[in-house]
Amino acid sequence: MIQSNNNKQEHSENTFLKESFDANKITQNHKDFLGLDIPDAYFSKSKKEILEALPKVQKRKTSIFGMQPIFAYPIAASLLLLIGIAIWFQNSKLKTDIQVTDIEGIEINNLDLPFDAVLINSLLVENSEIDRFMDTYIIDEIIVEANISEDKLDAILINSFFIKDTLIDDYFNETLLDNLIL
Amino acid sequence: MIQEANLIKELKEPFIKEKAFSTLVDLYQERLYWHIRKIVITHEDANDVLQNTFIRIFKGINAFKAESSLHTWMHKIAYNESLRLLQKNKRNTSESIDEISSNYLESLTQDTYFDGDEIQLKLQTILSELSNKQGRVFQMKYFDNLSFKQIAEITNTNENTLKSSYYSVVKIIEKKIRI
Repeated sequence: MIQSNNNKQEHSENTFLKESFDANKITQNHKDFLGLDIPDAYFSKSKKEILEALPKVQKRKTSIFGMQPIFAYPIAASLLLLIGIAIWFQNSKLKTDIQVTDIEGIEINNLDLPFDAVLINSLLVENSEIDRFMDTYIIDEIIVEANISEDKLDAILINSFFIKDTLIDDYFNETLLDNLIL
Repeated sequence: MIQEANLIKELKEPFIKEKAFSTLVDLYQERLYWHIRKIVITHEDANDVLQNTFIRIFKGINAFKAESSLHTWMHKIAYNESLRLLQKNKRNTSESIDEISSNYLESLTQDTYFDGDEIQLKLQTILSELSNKQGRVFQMKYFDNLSFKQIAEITNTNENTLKSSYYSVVKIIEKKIRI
């Protein structure tokens, strides 16, 4: 090991180049071997001077265009989404207002069309009322229509059977009589 | 333990650059100072060159491609800055670098911060008798503890040439110091 400054007189000329160099005692080594010295607390003062002499780093204002894509894209997408939702919500509210106004107009102007009015009004009524309407109005209508259709079908079928039977009877009677006579 | 790669990354980030640079100064200031001091000899010159070296490092860190280690890169800047000062002094005094080198001992003994005894002065005299490059290579290897590869990168010299030069210098110094 390199000897300290206190016993530098012990540096023999024979061992000078054979001793390993201790990099952790760099200042001491330079003093011991080369006689080079520095002022007291030089490195702390020098560090301060160096840091003061450095050009100031321009801290850029962060704008979305100057950001890394990994940050900019999600932020831009989120902003677009927010704007989109806001516009949609605004339009949706406006549309509902217009619809209410229109419906009121329809109700006033088209009192002679109760069916349409009922349908339009159904948009503004509770589900339970719509269900009740379905039960009492639409289903009844369907059932009545179905019954009428069934009755008509029965009548046609029965009539056709009667017609067929009488024709067959006539045929049988005629051919049988002919055969018997012949 | 500070990882060199992390430090380089931080030095390239504008928001933390100054803090990282403060760490860099702590880590390398002493080593760079002594590297410079042995070339420019006087403390005042070494102080100026050290400051210029760190300013160059600060400005150039974004261009650092990590083709060599940060340590080697900084030593190279320090080496070039030291030579630049010697060139500047040469222009001012109309002396060649060799003539400046011949005034090595004169500069050394005039420096307030030289406090060498007989043996130290003897070693300095031997070093002053070497060629500029031989002396610098020996000092970088022996006192700065740099590898031959690093010295080759810093001085732009072939590594094998450096090795043979160094060992021949060691023999010369050993021989002269025994006299």
